[in-house]
Amino acid sequence: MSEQSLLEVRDLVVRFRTHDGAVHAVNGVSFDLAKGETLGVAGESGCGKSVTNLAIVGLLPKPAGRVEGGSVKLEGRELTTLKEEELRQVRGSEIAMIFQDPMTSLNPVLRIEEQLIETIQAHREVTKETARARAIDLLAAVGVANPESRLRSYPHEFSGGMRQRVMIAMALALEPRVLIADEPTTALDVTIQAQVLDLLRRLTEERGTATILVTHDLGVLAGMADRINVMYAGAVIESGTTDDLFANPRHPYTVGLLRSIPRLDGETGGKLVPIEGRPPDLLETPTGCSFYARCAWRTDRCATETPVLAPIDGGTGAIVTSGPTATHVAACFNPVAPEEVAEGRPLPRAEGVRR
Amino acid sequence: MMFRAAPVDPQIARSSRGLWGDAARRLRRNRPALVGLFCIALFALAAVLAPFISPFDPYEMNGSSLDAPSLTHLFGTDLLGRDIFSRVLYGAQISLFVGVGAVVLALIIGGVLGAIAGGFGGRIDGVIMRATDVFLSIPSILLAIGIVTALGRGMVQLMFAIAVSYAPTFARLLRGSLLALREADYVVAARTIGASRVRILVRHMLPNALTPLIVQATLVLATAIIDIAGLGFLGLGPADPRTPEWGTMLVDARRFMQTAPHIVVFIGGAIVISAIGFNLLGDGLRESLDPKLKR
Amino acid sequence: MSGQPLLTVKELAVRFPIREGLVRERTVAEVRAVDGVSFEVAKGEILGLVGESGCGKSTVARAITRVVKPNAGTIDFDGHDLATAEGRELHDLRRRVQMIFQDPYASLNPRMTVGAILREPADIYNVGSGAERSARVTELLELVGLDPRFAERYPHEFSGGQRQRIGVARALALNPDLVVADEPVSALDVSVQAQILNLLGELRQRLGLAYLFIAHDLSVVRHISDRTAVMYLGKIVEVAPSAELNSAPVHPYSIALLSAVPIPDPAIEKRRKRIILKGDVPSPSNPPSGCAFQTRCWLKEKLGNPERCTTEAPQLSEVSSGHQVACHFPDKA
Repeated sequence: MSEQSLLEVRDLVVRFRTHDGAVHAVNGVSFDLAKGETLGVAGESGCGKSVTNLAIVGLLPKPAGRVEGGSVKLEGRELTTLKEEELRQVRGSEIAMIFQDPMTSLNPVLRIEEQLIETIQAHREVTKETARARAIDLLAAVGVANPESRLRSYPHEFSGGMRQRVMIAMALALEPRVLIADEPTTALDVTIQAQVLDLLRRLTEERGTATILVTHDLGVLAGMADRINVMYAGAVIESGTTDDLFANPRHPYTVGLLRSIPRLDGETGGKLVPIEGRPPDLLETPTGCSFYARCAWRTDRCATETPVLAPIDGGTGAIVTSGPTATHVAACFNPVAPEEVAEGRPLPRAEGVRR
Repeated sequence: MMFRAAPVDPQIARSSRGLWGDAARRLRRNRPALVGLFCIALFALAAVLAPFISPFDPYEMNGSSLDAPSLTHLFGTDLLGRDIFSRVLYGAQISLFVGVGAVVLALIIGGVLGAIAGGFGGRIDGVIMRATDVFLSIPSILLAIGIVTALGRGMVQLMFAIAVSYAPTFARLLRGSLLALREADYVVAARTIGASRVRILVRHMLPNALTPLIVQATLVLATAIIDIAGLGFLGLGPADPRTPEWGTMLVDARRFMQTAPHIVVFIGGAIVISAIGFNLLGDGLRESLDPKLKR
Repeated sequence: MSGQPLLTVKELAVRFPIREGLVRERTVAEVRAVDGVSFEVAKGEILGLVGESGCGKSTVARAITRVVKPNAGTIDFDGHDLATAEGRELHDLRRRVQMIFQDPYASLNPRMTVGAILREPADIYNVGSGAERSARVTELLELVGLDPRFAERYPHEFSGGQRQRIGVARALALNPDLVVADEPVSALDVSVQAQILNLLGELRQRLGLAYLFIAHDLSVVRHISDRTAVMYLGKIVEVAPSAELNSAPVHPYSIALLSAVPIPDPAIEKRRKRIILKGDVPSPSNPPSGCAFQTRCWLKEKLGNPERCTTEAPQLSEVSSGHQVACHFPDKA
């Protein structure tokens, strides 16, 4: 365990109650977030990456969604048992969030000014003038031109990219220690995405804000994240520093994700290696490895036993869970060999080579 | 060239369910809707079985005046000594017949107008919509009163009056859904395939615009039953004053509110149960036909 | 340009009026969604059309499939002008130009079975007997890698990727020559995107199809298309063979666009120099004078804001074989 650990999530379990039964949305997720670190979370829709974050800040849709196990600690303080009132204080001042669609978090009938000042005054005892000055500073910091006059605008008067900037300004208004950005640029065009990512990178570095960046775009993570958790069917299936993970992916799903996307610097016209099939039905209680049905590397053991995160080199030393020296771990009985990564499929292996 | 077949999917084994099947399944899990269905079943059974289970002729005197409820006369008797239980059962028949008839008629008139307006648009749309505006600006009960007054009393007139007052609602509703569907991708897809306008309207747009109409029809049925009773209460019910129509019966019963309050309670109860039944079912249908509303 | 042109679009323009007025509507302004676009698609070729939202690429798709009627220009398809065709002629041309949609959840009629959806094109054009049409449904499902038993099912029972396969099958039902694919994979999860991209590639090989492949994702377009056209604010700013566009882009917008695409490799990402464009795309109802890109152009700034950029709209001209650029200073970038 890292000394620096700011946020500590252990064995988090989230279920949704629906008419069709319980949805196993998050099945025992653990990770640490160190000060000033950017943790990337990769995975496809329904893998539980957004639900995990909603659970951390206590924003699961009620009454359907419930944390049914595990703990979330912010600097040692348990968050899952907090009352709504206390959670509200944590949200905003200690953990802030940015969502894919800024329109869902901005009130369309209030001017940006009122929303920003209200946010600041709700958490800090400052005069309206001070709050206003702070709001102008924030808008300027996120690159909004003429911040004084733009304060008088309504959210719909901003373009998508500008709205996301305003959201970032609002999220950073109270200098939170943790920023959770859930697909912050998915709805934006690439040139605008580049602007917003650039801004996020600069601001979090300047302020030393620890960030959880959730996205399905591995390219974005390659440029932004220090470490990456890859999630599948409600569990982290591989985790490591960004360099380790891209250079040496070991879980078949991670390899699949990397091999199935066309790359701008790849060869043209070649065949992609898709992951066949589709993610498991989360209504069913998982048995064995959740990736079993789609995995080309599966063995009989995978059908019945659930693999847990373990160091990829089988090492026995202490596992580092955060920071630049974090241990590369994967949840797989039959990890992908380095020479198979480029092929995207299993190669015949000599008996006895397999660990 | 080899083609990779999609992996064997467990869904092949499952039996297919249409959207309607899915909706029915959701409806079965909706408790208020089931209560509504129960009320409607009670109401419909009373209407259908009235001739067989009524202990007495609803038009004839079978006891003394204003008897209290007893084993012979479950709901007591009215001023003329007629069995109220029997009259309530026959009243269900009238409400059901006139109510359903009126709603079906309204659906036909409104549906055709709405389909033309929403499906083809342009000038004809403008004309139809302005006409419905005029009708919608008059309170429906007032409109019905006007029509019955003009056409004279009678069940068919009653049915027609209520149908005319609700048809514009259906026309607007259908037109609105159709307009929203015009830009739907599958409608655009049908155009790129070369489907004719009529085909697009009938095959692609109408089936997808029906859900709100069905929900609305169920809810309107509840209001229609109250309207029928209301018109009866105002003396605009069936031509024969002896007819066991709930509203008409209520007028008579009102005079004995002090001495025989049970009469008002039984008749009012019958109206409330049938109206609530359709209301609950309508809400349940809305939720089960449009799963997006849920949760 | 290789091969015979199947589709030749010249000076295509689509404008949408903005109407106002309560009683009498009048046109107060126009959105120039597509503003003088010209390109060719050869038989069996895949032309990629990239651009950001609002650049008019989807409107190009809708004009070619005649969902909207163009205001000006010609769309020559195998000797017929799709821009002006009406009635019988248009009906017959529609068979040969089919479309794949972005959202597989919205593009299939939820009240029709998959079989009915795939059968409908044959019903409309009265192709074959009843039994032949059913056999065709089976054939189409197998062609796109789905189990023929799925014909009995409704769209909502399928995943996004499977639905997109059904959408592809519908587009192929009438044996078209040209398929216009409007963002066919952008609504899908990444692992499923690859399935559909591979399928589209295989089908092209096997059936000799030509595609107009529209997407905002440059990596996807570059992967699948032979040539790529870049659109900005209703105009094509650069066309080149896909590999060349990627390795040697000339238009300052293309250069910025390429540099903004994230590459899933941390080593490369660290070394890359990004050109971050300032501001937003101007409104197509009020485009800037001269070059459409001049309000955000980094090259214009670097060159000391030459007057020509604001006064004269650059035309597409050839910088090398098959590589056309609409910029006044193609050699300065």
